Amino acid sequence: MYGSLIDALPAVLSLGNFAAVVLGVITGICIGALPGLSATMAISVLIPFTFGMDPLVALGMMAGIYNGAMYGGAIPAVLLRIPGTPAAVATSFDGYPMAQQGRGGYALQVSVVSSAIGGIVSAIVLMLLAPPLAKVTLLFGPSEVFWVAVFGLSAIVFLLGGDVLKGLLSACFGVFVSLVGLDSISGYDRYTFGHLELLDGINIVVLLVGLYAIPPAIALLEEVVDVDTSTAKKLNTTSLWKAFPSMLRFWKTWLRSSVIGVFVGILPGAGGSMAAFLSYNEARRASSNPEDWGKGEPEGVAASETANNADTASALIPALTLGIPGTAVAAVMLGGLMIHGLQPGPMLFRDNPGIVFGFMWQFLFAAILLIVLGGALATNSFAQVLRLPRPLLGAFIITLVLVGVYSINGRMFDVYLMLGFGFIGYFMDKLKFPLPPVVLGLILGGFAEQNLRLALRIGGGDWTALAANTTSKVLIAMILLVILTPLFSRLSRRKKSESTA
Amino acid sequence: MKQTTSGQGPHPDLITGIAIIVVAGFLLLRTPDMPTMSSLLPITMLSTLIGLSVLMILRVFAATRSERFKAPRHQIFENLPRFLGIVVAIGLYVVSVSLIGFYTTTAVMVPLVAWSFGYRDIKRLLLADLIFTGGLAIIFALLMGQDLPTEFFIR
Repeated sequence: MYGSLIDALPAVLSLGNFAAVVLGVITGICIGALPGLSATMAISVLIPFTFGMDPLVALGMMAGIYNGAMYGGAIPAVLLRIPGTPAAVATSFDGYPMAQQGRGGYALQVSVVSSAIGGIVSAIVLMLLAPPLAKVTLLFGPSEVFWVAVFGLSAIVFLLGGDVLKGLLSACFGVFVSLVGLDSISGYDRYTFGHLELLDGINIVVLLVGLYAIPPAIALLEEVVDVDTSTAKKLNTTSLWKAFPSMLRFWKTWLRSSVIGVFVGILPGAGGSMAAFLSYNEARRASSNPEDWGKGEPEGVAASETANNADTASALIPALTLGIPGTAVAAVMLGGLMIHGLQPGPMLFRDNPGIVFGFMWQFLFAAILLIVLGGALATNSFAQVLRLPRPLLGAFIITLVLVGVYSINGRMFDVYLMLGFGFIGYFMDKLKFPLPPVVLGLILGGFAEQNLRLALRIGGGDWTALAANTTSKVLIAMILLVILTPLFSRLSRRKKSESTA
Repeated sequence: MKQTTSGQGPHPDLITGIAIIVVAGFLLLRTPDMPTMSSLLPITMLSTLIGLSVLMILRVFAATRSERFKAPRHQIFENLPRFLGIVVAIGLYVVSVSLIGFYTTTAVMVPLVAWSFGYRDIKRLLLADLIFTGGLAIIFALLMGQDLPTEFFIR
């Protein structure tokens, strides 16, 4: 089972593939450091450019960007109390007071080492858990795959929290978009309105780029933000290797936060910010000096940063094995796999072991590289990224997404479609409609439909055939659990608050 | 994200709900022509969209009468004139790419947009433009061999 893992290593260590990871990490740190830009956006913009690349090179860049951005978010969180990514909010609690005390450099070093440790643990868990899980899921037939897809859809909508109604609307919209184009079973064209460009359906990259890259680009141009970068000049950074021994006392926090991050990453819909908050709270509870937290306690930075990076590779466990992306970034990465003709799911491990295991190695290398690139080399330099003028950056992103999307098929139709999704994404974002369910709906909607119809054909049109075997029944029970648990907990909360009132 | 409990004009959720119902209703009218199995999921999804939108609209009305229901009013535009400016700039850029070519449009529009939206350091702007457009040309024309909308002066 793990033989393919070792076989994939030489290819990953080739110069081109390794350089892609390095470039990805640097790009990721820079993008993560820019408030308002996320790993999801960076990968969305990158995907069209990877068309002509070898799949491993493309995936290496994505792995690098993901890891780099999760750390990069800590830079403005520490220096300016503006989290570069949502996952870095908890980092600012203690990181910013440290920067005010003139220990900003040390806070960033703790961030980078903790991020690397979290990323390494996460990559190892991905390597150990994904292959056996994929082996089990290989035994699934169309009816089980259908229920797995439904589970993925239900899980993300309800775990997203917030406004369930809007989450459901988003998911339905995504599923509907997946239905546009030629029906692969009956051959009937659905909702193409005579446009031949839509016969193959809506390209996932067009949707991803529109939803995730256009709204932040508009925000960069729309909001007038005057960022004070004066703190960035006073980092007082010493060598990372000299500072490292003083960090060894965080080993318990690193361990605890890694476990929390990995666990949250595997859960569909949770994500890095939840991992960071949970980990921060747990570390504070376990601390001997909880009263110092929030005033510049480096352990707080370590807890938050370890967890938000431990969430990265583990979020890909359900994505790679079942085709269910747990987070928005995982969904975008699945889109990246799909444009290279790789269908996420158990078959990926059987048909393309070199690529899928190579991808896991790249995650591990990207995490290790964080220390070299993000810490020892250039913490000071990356802090200067914050000075990039926002209007120029906005104009660059819009140009990049336009040229990237155009280059997929060499036609302006895709650009118009992408802009349409971009404005839909902008309004959804403003009205607090969550975006990940749209992507998940697009990925899983068509997939679920196809397997439902295959299962019905095999079962001779009998709907009860969908729940005929034990695996299907277990999956249905899990779906009910996911849907009903938040409902019951909400009801019990309401009852409790009414009784106290 | 700014959130207000009261505001002028109709609630954004109300407008969104009505818009979804109208569009989903229109798309639903196209399903009777489809084969039964092909129309199964579209009908389910569109009907669910309509149903959920109705619930969202009802929630808005319920929130005005009782504090038990919440329908927060989110501010949509940070700055409406700037948003409209962005829409016009993007529209202009897309049209110009088709008309006068990709590189020419990019070389003109990037500094113009950045300048219009507040970055006024002309020297740095032009240098950044040169590096950016030149970089794109190297990637797309030389490395990837990708044909982009042709420049008007070499057609």
